[in-house]
Amino acid sequence: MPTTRPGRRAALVPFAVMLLLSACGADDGPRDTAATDIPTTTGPSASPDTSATPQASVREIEVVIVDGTVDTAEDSVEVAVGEAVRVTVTSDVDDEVHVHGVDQTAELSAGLPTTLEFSLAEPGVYEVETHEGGLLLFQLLVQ
Amino acid sequence: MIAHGVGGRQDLPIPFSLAVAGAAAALVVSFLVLRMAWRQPRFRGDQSGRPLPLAVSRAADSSWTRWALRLLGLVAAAYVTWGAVAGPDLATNPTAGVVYVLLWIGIVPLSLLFGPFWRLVNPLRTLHLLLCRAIRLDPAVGMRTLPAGVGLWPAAAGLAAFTWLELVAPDRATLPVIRAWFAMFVAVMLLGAVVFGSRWFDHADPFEAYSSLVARLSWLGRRSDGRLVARNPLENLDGAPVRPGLTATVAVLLGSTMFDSASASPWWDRWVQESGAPATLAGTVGLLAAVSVVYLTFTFAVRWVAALAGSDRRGLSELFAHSVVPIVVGYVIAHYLTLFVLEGQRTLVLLSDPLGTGANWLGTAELTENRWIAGQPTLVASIQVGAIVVGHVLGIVAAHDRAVRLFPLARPDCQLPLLVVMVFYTVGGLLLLFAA
Repeated sequence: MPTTRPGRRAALVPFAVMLLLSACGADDGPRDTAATDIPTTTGPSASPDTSATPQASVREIEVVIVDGTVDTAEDSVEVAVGEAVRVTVTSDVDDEVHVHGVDQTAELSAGLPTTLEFSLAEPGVYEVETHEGGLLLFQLLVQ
Repeated sequence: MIAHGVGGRQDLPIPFSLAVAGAAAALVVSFLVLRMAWRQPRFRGDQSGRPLPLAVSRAADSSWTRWALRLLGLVAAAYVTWGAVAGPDLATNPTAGVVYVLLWIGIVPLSLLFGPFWRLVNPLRTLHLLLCRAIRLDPAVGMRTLPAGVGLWPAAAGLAAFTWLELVAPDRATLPVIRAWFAMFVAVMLLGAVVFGSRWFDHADPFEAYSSLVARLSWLGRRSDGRLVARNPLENLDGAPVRPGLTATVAVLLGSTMFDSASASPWWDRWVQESGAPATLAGTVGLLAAVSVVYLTFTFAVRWVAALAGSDRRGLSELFAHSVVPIVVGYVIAHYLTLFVLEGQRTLVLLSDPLGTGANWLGTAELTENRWIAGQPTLVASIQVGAIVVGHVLGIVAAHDRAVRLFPLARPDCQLPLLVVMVFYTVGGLLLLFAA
């Protein structure tokens, strides 16, 4: 079901402001080890059945943002520790998408799908959000 | 939701089975206490305790120690203030971490270990003392006497103001907001102290009130004759001074923690969004509602207990409010343990470089954070449930002892309403951990 979270906007402002000021990196400096970039050599065709090892499975999550409204399949997505996550975000305005708690950020250009690929090494709840709009896209439950 | 200002990851929801087991344990213990517990009061409050060696007591109370602690508080406050005023407003500035993690959460473990330490290091108390010394005035004497009924009400208001800053204020992790809040806070504290004397801090300083309340669950206490003693935390708790505003104070502490965990959940988001209200307004209403629910349920339950016991005494809720303190501490442990361990370490690292110049003044800049606890969700969930249930048990034991003291002739079932309310807090806490 599509969800909208304009209420989240103001709540995230302090966080967003600090990240913008710190160029989105300093905040997460010590946590670099928590996330691992997955080489994108497999390309978009990667799917669980093309590989024998569980590491090669990629959890696909698609998010569309229109008029400050978030459209995604699930509010919270359960993934395993170390499981590859591929988030594709399409926004109608320029913005920046960020996985809170780890050093994962990508620029969003209006109308163009942007993909973030990573895995999370520590169990916990991580929020995926936009900086400018201050929208919570979804939560990742890493178990 | 301070996690948005200072933290990254949040704890996973606790497993449903653990939440149910915790709730069941709380119910069973409540029933046992009601049915089988003692009928004569056992706790002797400040008369209790085994004295520490006289040398320890003397050393702790010596003016050298007192001045060393005051100096420590002043220097630490000056250092942090310097970073808050002269440092860059970046996420690498340690100020937010110091305020929301080291100070606010750190008050709890330090008070459990060392007693009401904040009144000994409180930099504002020391500033006022030095000011009075400089103009040769007695710091204890103000221009006016504080009215008798004031009690802890100003501290309750101060705690509400701080939790509003921590959980609701827009841009609360940024320096201008933190600076503005503390500027007002310092002004109110110092002006109050000038008008009412240093006693003002006992009544109004939210951090002192918090520290002194939590210290009532410490192993360390002071006997009525002034000796430092080691004592059963429940005896210590029984000696908590009964003051007007105590119920409001514990309601703010418990309600704000409840609100913190509720507002971090996706359903709070959805609710705010559907209501269409601005986030700050929704947060303010939510925080006030959480505090009011705790205050009203507790005062209502105590009034009901009194009615069942055939008492028409007024202000009885203040006589029972100490029993909420263990529940508050249980909640704090459950909600902030991992944040404190992880963000506390990060703040210590950042503290070495408050101006963002690459300095390593405290020698902590190169420390490697130990993130072991982040990889132990089962252990963390068990500690969370354990803390909430143990807090509940200590709370009902404290309330039971107080009830048999106040109403020696009443039937023990007269406490049922209070037990029901405490079960409600406990199950509520477990639900928040499960759903958040």
